[in-house]
Amino acid sequence: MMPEQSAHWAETQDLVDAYIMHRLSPEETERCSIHLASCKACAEIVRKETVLIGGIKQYGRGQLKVRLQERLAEEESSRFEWRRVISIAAVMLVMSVSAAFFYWMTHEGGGRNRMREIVMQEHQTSLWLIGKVVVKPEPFRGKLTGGIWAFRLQHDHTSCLLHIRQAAPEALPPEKKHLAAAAEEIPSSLERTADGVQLTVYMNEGDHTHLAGISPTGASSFILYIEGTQIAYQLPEGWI
Amino acid sequence: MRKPIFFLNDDARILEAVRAGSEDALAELFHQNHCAITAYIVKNRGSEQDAEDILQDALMVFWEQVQSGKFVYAAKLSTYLYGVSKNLWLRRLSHIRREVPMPEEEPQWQEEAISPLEELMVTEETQAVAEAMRRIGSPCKELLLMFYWEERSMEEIAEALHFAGADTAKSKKYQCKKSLELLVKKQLQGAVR
Repeated sequence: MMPEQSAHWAETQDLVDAYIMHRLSPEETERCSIHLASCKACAEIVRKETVLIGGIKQYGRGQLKVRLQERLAEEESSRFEWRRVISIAAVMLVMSVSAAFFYWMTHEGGGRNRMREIVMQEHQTSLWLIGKVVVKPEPFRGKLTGGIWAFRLQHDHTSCLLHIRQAAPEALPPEKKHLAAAAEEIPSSLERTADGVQLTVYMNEGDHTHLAGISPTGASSFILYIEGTQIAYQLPEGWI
Repeated sequence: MRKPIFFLNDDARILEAVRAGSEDALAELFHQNHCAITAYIVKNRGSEQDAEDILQDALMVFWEQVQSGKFVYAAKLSTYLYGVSKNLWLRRLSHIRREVPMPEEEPQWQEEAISPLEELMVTEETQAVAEAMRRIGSPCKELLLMFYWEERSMEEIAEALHFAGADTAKSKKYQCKKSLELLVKKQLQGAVR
């Protein structure tokens, strides 16, 4: 590769590249170096070429480094995003479980009552009501006198004596017999008495013929515990 | 050379990936060696940021060695990178004229992975060349990088850049180099627009 005579070898581009990039044999490298020591022109050429090649390498290295940094930053960002996603998912899971548990406690289990208000019918001296049956697994004992129970409903400064009696569905007037069709709806009549109101509950007597109790739930509403079931009533305004 | 079907160890797999130009492999090496390099540099008056920078520079050296075919697998890659990182860090410390404590033991990696050419890379002229490289267009940029940085043959360059042959690639290289020299001259004269 080396010219026969020790001419200005640096004028040969390929030779300069090979020398700078250490591609020459040891002997050729030595011969070139010896020439450079005494030839300023060639030495300057080699110097400039070395700078050029060094700059190209520096650029290439710099670009690769930037790409590597971007890749590492992207990986870090991606890991962070996954951590955030997992954290949010965990929080949502906890919230969902808590909400489900809360719903279950208030609606399904825990021995809680499920109460509903009944449908209002007419506003007269006598009124037909539909009592909605709710589930109450544990009735409590009430007071029975002559087949009629008496309770005083009191709210704020008003009070009302409520008489409750039970009658068979067969005792319903013919025009009201259709009210006994639905199992969860208890036809009931409400009549004014001298000292309050009387509620007649048309439902079959069970093994335990008793009214377990009554609980006011509002100014004009209450729950009747009878024959192991719970019936919610909403009295129209003015009946108490 | 036929591509191996399996790799005897992780180093072989990574080395093959780097030879194929995979930059993912560099990221993998970074993660594998980050802790060890950071521990050394922090212990020797450096910061975590210094460690990251040094390890990235070491990976650049590794990349160049592999691409140019000069890399010889004589020790585990982690050992190689640790040695190169140590050398780079000590050089950096000497450059900023800090008091460099005597190392407790001699570096185990003795082979000179950093040539004297590296010393020139921080000069103003090389900075001007790097700036000119940012401005030069394709395919000159790719050609010059492939020949001088990756040290590929003209045949490989001709194939990669779709030249007619090695002679065409060589001729184009000469033209690109002239263009680069002109840009560098303007850069140094401060006349680049």
